[in-house]
Amino acid sequence: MTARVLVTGVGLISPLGHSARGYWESLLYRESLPQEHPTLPPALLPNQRYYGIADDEPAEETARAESRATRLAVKATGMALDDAGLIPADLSRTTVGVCFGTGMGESDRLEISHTEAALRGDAPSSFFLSRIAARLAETYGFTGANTTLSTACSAGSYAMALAHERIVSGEAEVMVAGGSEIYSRVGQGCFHRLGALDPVACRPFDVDRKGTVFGEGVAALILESEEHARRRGRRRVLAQFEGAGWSCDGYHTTAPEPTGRWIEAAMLRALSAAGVTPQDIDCVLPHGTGTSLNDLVESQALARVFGDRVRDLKVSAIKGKLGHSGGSAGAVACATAAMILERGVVPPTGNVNVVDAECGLPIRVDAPTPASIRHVLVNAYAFGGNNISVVLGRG
Amino acid sequence: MRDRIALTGIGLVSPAASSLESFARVRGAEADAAPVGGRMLPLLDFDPARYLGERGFKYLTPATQYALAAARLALEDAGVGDYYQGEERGVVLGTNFAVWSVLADMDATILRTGADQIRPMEAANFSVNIPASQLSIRYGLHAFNVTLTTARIAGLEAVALGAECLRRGRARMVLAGALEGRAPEALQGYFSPPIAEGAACLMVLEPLSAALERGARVHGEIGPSLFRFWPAVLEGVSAPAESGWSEGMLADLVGPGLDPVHLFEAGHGCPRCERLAQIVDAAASSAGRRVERHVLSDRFGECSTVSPMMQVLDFCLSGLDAGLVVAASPQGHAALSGWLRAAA
Repeated sequence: MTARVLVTGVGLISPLGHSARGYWESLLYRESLPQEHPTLPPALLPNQRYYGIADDEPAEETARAESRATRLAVKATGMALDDAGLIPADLSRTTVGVCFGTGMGESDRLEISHTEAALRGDAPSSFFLSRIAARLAETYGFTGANTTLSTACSAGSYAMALAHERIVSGEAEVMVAGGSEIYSRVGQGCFHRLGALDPVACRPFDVDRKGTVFGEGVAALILESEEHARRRGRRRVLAQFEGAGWSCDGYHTTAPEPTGRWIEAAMLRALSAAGVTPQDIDCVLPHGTGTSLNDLVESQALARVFGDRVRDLKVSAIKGKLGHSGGSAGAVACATAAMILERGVVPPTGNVNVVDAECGLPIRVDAPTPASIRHVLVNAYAFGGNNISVVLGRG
Repeated sequence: MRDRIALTGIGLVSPAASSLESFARVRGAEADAAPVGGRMLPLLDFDPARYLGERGFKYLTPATQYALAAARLALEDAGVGDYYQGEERGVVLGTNFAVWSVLADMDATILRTGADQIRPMEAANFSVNIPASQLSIRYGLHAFNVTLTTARIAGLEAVALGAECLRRGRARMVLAGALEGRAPEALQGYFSPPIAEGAACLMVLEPLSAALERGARVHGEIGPSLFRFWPAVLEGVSAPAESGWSEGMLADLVGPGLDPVHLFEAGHGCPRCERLAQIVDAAASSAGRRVERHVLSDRFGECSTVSPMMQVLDFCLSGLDAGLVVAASPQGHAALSGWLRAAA
């Protein structure tokens, strides 16, 4: 019998605010649009529109001392620990590991060093993508395995899956899993050059969708063995992390494999790993980036996996209100899935006017849907076809 | 009993050696032939056309080219051919600097002439998972594709994760290892040997039973490993016991009776790695065992996640029954990776 792995705390910092509670309220009831953040002349970077995290500290000033990606991850982890009722000082005898996803890491510090003289006094430790995860473990004193995953836009979900495995294998009792992604000038420039940015908003599965829009996002989740949670008398559990399915398109660096056979395989593997069938899934958080072909291929694969039942699913494409937070997106989605399971409400999808009939997904855009949800399927895909699906169930 | 995992194919592209044979030659060369520090070690004789054909690599980053070449060498060395289906084959790579110089160049283009001057064919190259993705595209690896970017130990993590994926039945063959492109110049000086311009070391992993069944040559067997985050321990600020380290862990890693314990150290002057080696040394002494250290020639250069992989090759060529590869990062990551001699 495999040990149950529970989600006992969530910390979220997103364009919808600096708390999980604020995030949830906004996701349910508030409108959200990307904003222009002009830091370069439009001639150099024509599209500088994204969903940003409102920050109370001046970005450039603080980035010299500490990347926002790192500072916000440390803060989100503090929120998650607090949410889980865990005090770091009490964990000195517990093996706590960290798995974090990021695509661009501390991109603000890297980009400052290109516009000005190189940051002075940088230690060799500053040059690595893994500094985010390292700093948060250093801050809270976690000595378990500390791993950074960079499978582009699916990294956050892979971080969750790897954290889950570390607990199942007994390598750790508690894991902090999540992702951190902030605005990257290079990422924005390359997506612009690929013609992959929607000039209006991120509009997943909308008939007029024209690409994705970046969004900053940081999520930290506390995964914990059931035994550890029981031992410390933890009653409140958001969700159970039940299993994950992996696959790779091996088809193209940026375009999805058009038949969707590999993302379908990832979904089926996730269901199998979780020990559930399509009949047990009530809610799907699709990858849903607003990119024309990606959304269509994902819809078709969902239709094959779920058959007629696809019409009964509650489908929420959260990137409509958040934008696409790249290496953090999967973790943000898993955090959202945990909240859906705990609260019994499915958020509406933002910025969609007319759902594309060709996609055929039952997406509700007007209001939250109260529903008893048993299991949620979370999809995350990426450049290079690095696919993963995850199943979370009730705690 | 955990399933036993074999290393059946090795592919290496590096400044000092781009085959197992040349690696063995350089490994055995006199230590005083090491180059003087302060200059980046170039990959002088790397010809992508030799490995990748005359066309199709122009828009690939250098690190991607090294990875594709090393993958081809590893797959050929394993003689694995089409023995496994695409859905049975996965890839896990570690890297720190596959796109460091790519990002710097792209950012310079944006700042000087604008994003519209980035070539669309190269625009996806900003993403650090593209080298691994190109491996899946070229060699049909569909089970999974994971890129780890933990400082310096990501290659060892990749091998451990690849082995775990085989044990869980997620794949029947995994291509695992590490690759690097050009690292920041500022790293020069922190490590004792010069920084390598780039390198890749990839390995074919299979369940030992399957490898023997298909008559594969086995270079080595993957033993247990231990990964920790020990900044205070590696700084000597706190005792390892406070972080959960015990003598018993050493026995778990290298077996209870082995004497001496052979340590393959990927430190290159990094004080944190030296401290980690001392911790193992102390644990061995307490258990009445000696430690014999193996340090690779500085001629291979320092190459972040690839350097510990070269220690694995050093072990495979040593003829020893068991060895422990030790690596640490400037951030405080610690890795102890156990290896066993090829099964008879």
